Amino acid sequence: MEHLTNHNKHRCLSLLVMNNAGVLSRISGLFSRRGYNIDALTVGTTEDEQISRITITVSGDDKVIEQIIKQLYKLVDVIKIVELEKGQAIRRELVYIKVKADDTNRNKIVAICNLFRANVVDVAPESLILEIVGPASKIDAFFEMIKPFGIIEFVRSGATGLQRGKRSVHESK
Amino acid sequence: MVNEEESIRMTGSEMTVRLLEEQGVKHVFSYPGGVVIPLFDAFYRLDHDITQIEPCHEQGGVHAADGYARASGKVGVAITTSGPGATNAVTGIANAYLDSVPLVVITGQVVRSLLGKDSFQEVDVTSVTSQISKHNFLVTDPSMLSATIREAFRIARSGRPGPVVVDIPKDIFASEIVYHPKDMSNNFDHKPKARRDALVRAAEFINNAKKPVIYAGGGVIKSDAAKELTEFAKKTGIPVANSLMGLGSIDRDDPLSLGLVGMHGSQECNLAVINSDTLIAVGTRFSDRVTGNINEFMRDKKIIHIDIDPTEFEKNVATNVHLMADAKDVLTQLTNLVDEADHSDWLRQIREWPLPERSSDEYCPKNIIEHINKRYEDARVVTEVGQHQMWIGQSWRFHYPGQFITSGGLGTMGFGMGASIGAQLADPDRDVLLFAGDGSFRMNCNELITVRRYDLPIRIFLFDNGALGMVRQWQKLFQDKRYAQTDLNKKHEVNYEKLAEACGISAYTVTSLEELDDVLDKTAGVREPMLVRCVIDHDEGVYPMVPAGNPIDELYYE
Repeated sequence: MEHLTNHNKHRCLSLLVMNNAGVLSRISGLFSRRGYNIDALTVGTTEDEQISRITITVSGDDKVIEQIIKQLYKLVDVIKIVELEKGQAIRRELVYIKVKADDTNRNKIVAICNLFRANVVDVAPESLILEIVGPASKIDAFFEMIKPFGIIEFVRSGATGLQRGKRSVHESK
Repeated sequence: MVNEEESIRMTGSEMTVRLLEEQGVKHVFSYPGGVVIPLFDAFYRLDHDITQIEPCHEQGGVHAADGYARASGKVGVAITTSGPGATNAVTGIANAYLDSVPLVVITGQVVRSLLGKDSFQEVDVTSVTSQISKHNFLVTDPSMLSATIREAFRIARSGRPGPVVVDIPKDIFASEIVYHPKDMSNNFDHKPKARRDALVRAAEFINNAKKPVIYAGGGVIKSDAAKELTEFAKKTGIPVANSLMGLGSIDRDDPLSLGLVGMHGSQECNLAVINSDTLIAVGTRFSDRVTGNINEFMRDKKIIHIDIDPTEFEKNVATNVHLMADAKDVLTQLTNLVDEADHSDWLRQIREWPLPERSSDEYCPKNIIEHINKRYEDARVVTEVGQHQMWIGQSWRFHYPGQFITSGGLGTMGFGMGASIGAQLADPDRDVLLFAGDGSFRMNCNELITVRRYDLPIRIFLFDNGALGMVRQWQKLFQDKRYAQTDLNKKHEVNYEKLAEACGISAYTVTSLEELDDVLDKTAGVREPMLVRCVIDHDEGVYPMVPAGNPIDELYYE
């Protein structure tokens, strides 16, 4: 199962876009046409109902990221793009993991969850669903600890985040 | 004069006509259909000075709007119905997108309540055109109609121009809306200005260059900077190579003009570009058809890249300085900053490179073109796509920007028929020549009917080699002469003269330079459409040629 993250290659872009019909398909269409790969994408509302925020995780070196940002800026609906850089921004992801669990090991799994501040959100005779929120490094470490018990399936929300400090994305360079 | 104070209640279709008037539109290329009946009714009923031109097929209509835009420098407008009307327009839209031509294409759409239900003649036009248009809109609220159409025109011509699609449901055309007139005649766009530090650095590179070349593309023509380009070249003594789209940005008879560079560029031009130490690229995008092998193309040269579209920087080549601004502004400023220079040694070296060409009395495409060129020096030259297009690119002596109208980026066979119609309407007094191959001609020859219908005196020179010659040439060189599906008219299944005559267009066939001269004599000054079929050799090729992906100084001759 390929779930580990390569932190060097994965970059996170936060976009403010006009909440117009088709804006998501324009953006995903741009990525597919230009041959860029979206690793994860989240969309949500903002404090202004006409504007949505999209967080895209992509792989690529500086040149690729620069070209992606320039191409995105050409879309009429795109208002602002900032890169959520490690250290300058918080980046979090929500993950649910369904793991095999029975009377012999359930306590062990719960103990690991406590160490990671993960929650158990569903308990069944032969399985648990675990919920964890955190940066990629924490999630990867958690996966490493849980894997030996037998992961049945999992879902990752994709990263989302904000820049640290008082400034909003509007005020960023 | 527009009275901005008044506000008038009218239908969406009436308002669409008024909005086009506001933008100064004089011609629209429109084809009717179910959902645009209310719009056409408004054109019919209202008093306005917009002429509707009806093509035979929406593709021809959009190409006509494209040719019109290129010849007039204004935004071209096409109108189609929903569904098949809109999908027929798609190739035309993509063509304009790849060549950065400002268009507004209005497509009718099914009524809003039927959207998404696979209704009759429903196609999701904004999805279909999203990757081949600069922007598109689906109007879902009548109150947004005026803002949307005004914005569409603004987007189409601002920055790097391009086609904008406005999809309008039928019930929006029918709904009552309040129209607030707006004077759009002084609606100039803000153009980005180059940064001073980048200009100074660029000037330094140019002043230190020993073997500089200017590589000028279609952006020079779009930003109306041909004069500034020539002044810059003259002050610095730097020769100018052109991409296909850039031909006309400097007079081909100017001693500094090197002509076409790239896959079918001349030996002198290709060698000058690849061996230059400093390349000043203006309004151009380092297409694979220009650069060939990109690493060889770079060959230790400094590159200064001037473009209004920042995504072109570092897309295909790494540059030393880039200037994101309007070419006209940059060239004016650079001309002031750079030193006068003398590059006569370099120019002499370049002039030693050309190879002897075919004798001037041979009946071959190059000489056919020269004979026509001599008589129509200032004509607008439109082409289809293929060998004839490259022969024109190589041989025609272009004198002014916009003289050459051709499908560069998309390479659309069938473009020329519609484009020549638009070019003639934009500039009715000028001679318009359409050069076509027999393959391209077959694609959209239906528009011969439109040419006759509107009495457009277009002169069509049909290069008939009985082949899809460009592909056949590649098959000859790279597929061991396996001519898959590239031989045409083997059974003489079409008589092109009769085809033209069936549309009321007089036609001639020539098989020698003498016959050609006779026809040119006979038709001189005749303001009527005509077709001159020039029968040429089946195996005629375009040379020199650089096979795709090779360095551009490895030129093949026949």
